[in-house]
Amino acid sequence: MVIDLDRCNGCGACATACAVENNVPPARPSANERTGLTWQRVYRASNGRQFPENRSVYFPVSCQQCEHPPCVSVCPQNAVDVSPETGVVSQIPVRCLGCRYCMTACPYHARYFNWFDPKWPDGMETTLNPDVSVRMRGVVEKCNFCHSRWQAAKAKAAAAGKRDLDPADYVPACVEACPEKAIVFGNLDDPRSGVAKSAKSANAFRLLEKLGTEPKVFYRSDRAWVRRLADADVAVQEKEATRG
Amino acid sequence: MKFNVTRRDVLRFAGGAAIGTALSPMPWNLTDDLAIWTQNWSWIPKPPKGERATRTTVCALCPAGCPVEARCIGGLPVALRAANDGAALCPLGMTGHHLPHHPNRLTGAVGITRGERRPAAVTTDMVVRETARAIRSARAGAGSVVVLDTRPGRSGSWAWRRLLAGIDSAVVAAAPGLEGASLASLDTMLDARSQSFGLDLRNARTILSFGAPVAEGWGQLDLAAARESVRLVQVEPMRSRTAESADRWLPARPGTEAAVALAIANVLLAEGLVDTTALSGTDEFDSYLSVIAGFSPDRAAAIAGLAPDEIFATARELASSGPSIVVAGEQPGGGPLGRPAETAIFGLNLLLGNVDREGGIVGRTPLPAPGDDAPLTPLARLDEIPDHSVALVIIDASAGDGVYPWSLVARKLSPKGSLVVALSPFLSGSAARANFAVPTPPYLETIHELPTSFAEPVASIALSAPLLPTRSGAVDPVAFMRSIARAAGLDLAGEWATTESLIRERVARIHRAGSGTVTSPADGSATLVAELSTSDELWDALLAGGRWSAAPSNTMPPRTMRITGGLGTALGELPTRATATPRPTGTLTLVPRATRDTSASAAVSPVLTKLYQESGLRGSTGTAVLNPRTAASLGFAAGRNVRLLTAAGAMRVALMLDEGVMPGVVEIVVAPERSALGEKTAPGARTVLDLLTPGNEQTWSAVDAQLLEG
Repeated sequence: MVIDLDRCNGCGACATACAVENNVPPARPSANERTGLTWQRVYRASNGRQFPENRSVYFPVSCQQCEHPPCVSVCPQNAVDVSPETGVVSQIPVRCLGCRYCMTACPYHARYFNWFDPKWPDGMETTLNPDVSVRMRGVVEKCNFCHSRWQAAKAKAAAAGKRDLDPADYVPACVEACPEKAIVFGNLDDPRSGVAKSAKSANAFRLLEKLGTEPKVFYRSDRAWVRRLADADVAVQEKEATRG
Repeated sequence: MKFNVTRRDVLRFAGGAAIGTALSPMPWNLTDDLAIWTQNWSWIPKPPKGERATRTTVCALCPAGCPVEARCIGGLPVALRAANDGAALCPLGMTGHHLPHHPNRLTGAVGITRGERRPAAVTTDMVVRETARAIRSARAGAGSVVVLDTRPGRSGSWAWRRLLAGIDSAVVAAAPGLEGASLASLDTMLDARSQSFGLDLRNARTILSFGAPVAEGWGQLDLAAARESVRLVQVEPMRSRTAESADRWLPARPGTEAAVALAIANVLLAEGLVDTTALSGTDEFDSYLSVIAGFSPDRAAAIAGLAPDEIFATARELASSGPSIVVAGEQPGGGPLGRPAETAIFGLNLLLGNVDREGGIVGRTPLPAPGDDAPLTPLARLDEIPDHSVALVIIDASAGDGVYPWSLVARKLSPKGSLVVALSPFLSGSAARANFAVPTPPYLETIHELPTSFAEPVASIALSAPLLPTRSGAVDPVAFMRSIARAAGLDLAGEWATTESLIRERVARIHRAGSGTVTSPADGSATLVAELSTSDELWDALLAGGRWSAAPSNTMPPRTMRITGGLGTALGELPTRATATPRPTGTLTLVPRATRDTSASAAVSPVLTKLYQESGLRGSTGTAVLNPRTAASLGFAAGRNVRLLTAAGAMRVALMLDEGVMPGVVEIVVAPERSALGEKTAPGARTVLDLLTPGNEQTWSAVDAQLLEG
């Protein structure tokens, strides 16, 4: 995935589409930014200058689908797995025992814990996506690049007698929902794909690259001050700037 | 043969069985099954099952009317997405299918008493009787009757005017702060009582916007698609999404928009960049010239906190990179800029010769009314209605809502006795302020009409087809009007008894006129109305997600252009806060902010807590944002709870710091309210909007405020 930060305007459509697609429940009144469930979260960072030279950039951050995910090695339950076929880091809720070691290990704050059983307002459960299971309390959950859509694309390809799925059939919800077309998705291993070319462009970068996690989510920006944010903890920076 | 089973044998057997079981897969399978079984308690919601289908409709949650493709399971929508390729729905639109299940959805009529946490259940018949009684009192001289329409232009809007035509003191007014409200000022300048023009944003090369959230869909301009061909200059004090997206952002101080507009006019005239032949010789133009003479770029820049070069550059760009258009918008949460500012801003269009020109202000034929030319009660603006004169307010929020301070309505109510009745699907927003609320069907449960939006260059109409059955207890707004007519002895001629039948009448009239085209959202193909044999065919095409558009009519009837809108030299009078220096110590300018999408609906999906509560992306209502330098000068640190004080009262707010906020300004998040997000709160409880006391111009885009400890 490559996210163009010069196009992202912080509308939040990606975060909303993700919640709808993946049956992420609405927050309880007591929930806040630390206890909420936001598989896709949009952070705002700035260039640190004073008004009116202050400029903002919006970072949509989900699970970075690392090639060397720290969460895999710390899980005592083997509830985290890297798919050899897709490279997606999957979270297996039925194996998770809720120790949250993976949340501590994740440097991107991209994992979320179900403190409570999910609750939707009466009747709203009829709007749930039947292709995604609902998680119970006590388990960790995170972005899986809309694995159910991958499954559906595979099934469609198989029904058509094809071995490989059509890339147009597998589009995560956030990619589809972005009005600015800021998120590009595809096969990083295919050098002809748009996403592979964007990932290799001069202005592409990854978050916290020095940690060696090798994320599969790239960002790009023509603005140098945005690229310099790559080594900063975006979540902490936003918190420090706005809440002291 | 006799078995001699001893206790030791039993123990050996049990021990062996235990070890053997442990070595078998059975206990581990049981553990797995236990894990799965405990994740399927009865209270864990189960996704629906059923046949999968795709249906199309049109989003009715804001006037834009985006085509929608709904993924349905067992006939129930589970996901909404844009129906046309390359487009996308906003967060409100993509969660619209949650609204019929909103926790604050009205299931029956209620009576609301201030201070009571829960409203009292009443019957719709009782509300009809009370409304009829108030009408009779109004006719007897107790006061006037006002219908506040939160989505003007619908067939239902026409029906209200038809219903109240027999009452001398009745008017229908648009709810304050709705999109396009500022165009009433342009209406006055072009000497028309009802708008017969649109804004051709799609063909403009340069757009100068004063506060309009163009990047959020205001004016239905797809800015992302138009980026290569249009330049946007945004003038507003906040670094909004539109300001961030603009090619240039002019951070003018709140309340100084008129000064900036008049200074731009000063440059256009001083440098001979415009042809004033059409305007010269009129009384208003002489007044205009005398006003702008007092707004040199240097003076305006000092007032607005800008560099004079910015004003020069903007004026030159408007003149050289045409077609250019200048718009005054309604800031989500902050409402319109006020008539003087809007007049100064729209005056630039008259100066630039933008009227009746592609890429500018274009003429359009009005949408046919649903009925014949029967008498209709007049339209008015809420600020034109005398204070303390209204005996009955009926708020029609059945098709949407607005964000405005309730005091704008409250000040109109007669102290001798008044009644407020709201029609809404939800007990939030306007309905929460009423004495009685009547439940109407929400989006996706009934046919909603999307008439011509304010900026459209041609008349158009789309229909939002229902995807769900109407829940029992919901009241059709037109049926409610019929009940009132019967109870109050009002004449409401016509066969139509429901909203659907009324809209059908309108569609039939469009078909009889035989002009225009219906465009399909799926492939963009257009069918001439003349090729549709019956109005039923047109109706079906609209219900399938199509949009009817009139043939372009870019010719406006000849009219006198009044460049000061009748204000004369008063055009140059700025709000006190814009010019008073020094300001009293500790006085800040309170600027409300919201986003365009969620401001259009009284309720939003609870899932939008992802944006408003579970992340800091949009901030929750009641959050005050201050520049760190301003906070330091006041002795405040981030994260504190402070008291926000205005002329209307005080409220505790949470404080956040942001270097992107203008010094001396405190931005406050005003929408959506907690009740809109699904929390059960006492209806009519005070909200942040109550702190925004509208000034003399009925605006609340900037008010004086103080931040105090506690």
